[in-house]
Amino acid sequence: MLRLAVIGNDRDVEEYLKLAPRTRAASIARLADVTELDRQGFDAVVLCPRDSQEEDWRFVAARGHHLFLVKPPGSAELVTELLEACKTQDVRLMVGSRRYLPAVCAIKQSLDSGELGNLGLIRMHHWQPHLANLVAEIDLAIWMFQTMPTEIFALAENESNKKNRHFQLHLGFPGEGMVLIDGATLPTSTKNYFSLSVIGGTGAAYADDHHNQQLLFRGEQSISLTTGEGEIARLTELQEFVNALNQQRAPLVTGVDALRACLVFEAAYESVGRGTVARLVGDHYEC
Amino acid sequence: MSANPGNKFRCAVISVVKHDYVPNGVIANDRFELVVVTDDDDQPDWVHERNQTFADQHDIPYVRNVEKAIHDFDVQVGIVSSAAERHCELSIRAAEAGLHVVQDKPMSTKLSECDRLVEAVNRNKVKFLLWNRNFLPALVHAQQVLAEGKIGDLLAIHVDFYFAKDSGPPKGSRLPGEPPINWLERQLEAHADGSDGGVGSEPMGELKIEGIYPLAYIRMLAGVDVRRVFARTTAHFHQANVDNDVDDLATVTLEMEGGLVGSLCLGRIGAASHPNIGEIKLHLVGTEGALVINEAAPEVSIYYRGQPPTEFRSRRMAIDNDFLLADDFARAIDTDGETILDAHAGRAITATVLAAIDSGRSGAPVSVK
Repeated sequence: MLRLAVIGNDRDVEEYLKLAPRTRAASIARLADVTELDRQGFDAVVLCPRDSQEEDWRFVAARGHHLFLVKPPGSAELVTELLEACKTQDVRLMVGSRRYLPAVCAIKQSLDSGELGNLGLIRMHHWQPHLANLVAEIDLAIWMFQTMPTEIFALAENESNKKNRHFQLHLGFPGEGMVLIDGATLPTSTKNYFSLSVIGGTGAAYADDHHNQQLLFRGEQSISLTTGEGEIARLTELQEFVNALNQQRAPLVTGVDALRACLVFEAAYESVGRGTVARLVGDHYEC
Repeated sequence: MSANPGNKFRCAVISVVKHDYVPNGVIANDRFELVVVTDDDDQPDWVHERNQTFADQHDIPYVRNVEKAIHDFDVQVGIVSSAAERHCELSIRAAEAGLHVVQDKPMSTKLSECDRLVEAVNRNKVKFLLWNRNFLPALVHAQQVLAEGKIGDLLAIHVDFYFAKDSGPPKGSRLPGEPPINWLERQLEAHADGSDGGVGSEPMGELKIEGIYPLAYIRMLAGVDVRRVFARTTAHFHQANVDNDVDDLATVTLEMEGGLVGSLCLGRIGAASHPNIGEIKLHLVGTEGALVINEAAPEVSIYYRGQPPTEFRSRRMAIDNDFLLADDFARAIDTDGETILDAHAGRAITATVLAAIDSGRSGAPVSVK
């Protein structure tokens, strides 16, 4: 039985603790601080976002604890440092992603089975109350196309300020594949909106929060309510981390995946600043 | 042509080889009546056959001389639904004869033709309407929400326009040694099921054939011109598109006046890829909120034993687009106003489409001329 420590912001930690009864071959306990790790004999750490996240993962990796980083660092430089730290201490690293969302799983399964045919286009819209980069969406695109984009063209509301209210990203993949992603900040909302369309040569899949709205009538207007997807995504992701450790293999989503997505995201910002296309040259992008 | 408030407009249908929905749509409004079908005598037999069929259906004469028909039948409006490469030429001739013009999409396959048409419309002081879908209920609703300021000032607009129709044999179906598919022959075959939107001898991709619809939505809602585009284009689904080197799938990033941005995903993705006409949506981001619009709404779903597999399970309803377009056109004539998609707007959309095609080929952003 693996012993997992969960560290980070209270809300996320609570969500992971709720999963304890359903997590196979692992126990889960809360730790207030990473410094307690040395005394309590944990095998691995689930690190949820909080202000001290960078110091946390440096500490965890340096002490050789396997690490599930729920929100990976947002820069290629930091991810590279994280990868080096994990490699030095022989730490298995898994990073959080959107790959375990039920709709995403269903679409990937359909894609892998050949039902949709040759992948041609991925379209994503992701709107949130607070600013978030599009690294997780970029990871989905790379994962589905199974390769890095060769062309990147991006637009943002304000190129000198990364706190954009909207950001859009246009990716070209080998074989004429294409991806469009737009992100937006919805300051007056508390809800997220996510839509994913995958267009293949023989079929298509549409996962859209718009399709999953219920209606509440109160006052003069009806309000849409999104039917939640419960804890399945989080549980499946956590179980994959546990299984990977128990089976002594790499998790399905690693720091290398986070690094690839960050490289694309940073090239996108280079594209915004220069107003040109960033192209893949060897293992890096040039505008 | 002088205004004629309240009276009927007599219409000449100037070639009707593609979509009879345009002239039939115009007469959804009883301000308009069809009095003659006409075309040039030197057109091929299949053109005359289709023109004659339409004339017979409406019990009006077919005259194989455009100028004579316009002169003899005292018409005020020309409705052009020819092969795309003839659109502008026929519209220009109608405008030169003093007719107001309703024209099927696309405006043209060439920007120079659009420029000629804009000039002819302006010089002859006639009205021009490029047929479009801007009066679909969902679009009217979106415009209303925007106008009421419910999402603040518009920052970004994204349109997904996946058109779930087939277009002949699928990509990869041509056997070694078989000749490539002839574009015109394919379009003539496609007339039976209405998938001949690209009819003509000049091959056209979906950006040219269908691009007007989403770009007209964007233009109506944003109210500005597109300045620069970056596009990816490919022939992903249909052998006819592969053989004729035209797109059936495209993504376009749009940079517009006033700092607005947007994007367009467009494709003829095949009938298997959607249970109805296609997944068509608009995503609008404003300073105070955002809006997701399903272009198909309102719909009614109908299922029954023995239902043909190709029949749409959800049917659009409460559509008054034809009447409202014609009404808009009549109002423009009556009041010397502008139509919802006039010649200038049509030219701007064509320029955007052509820039996107250039960008798709070059892999670089392209300024819209």
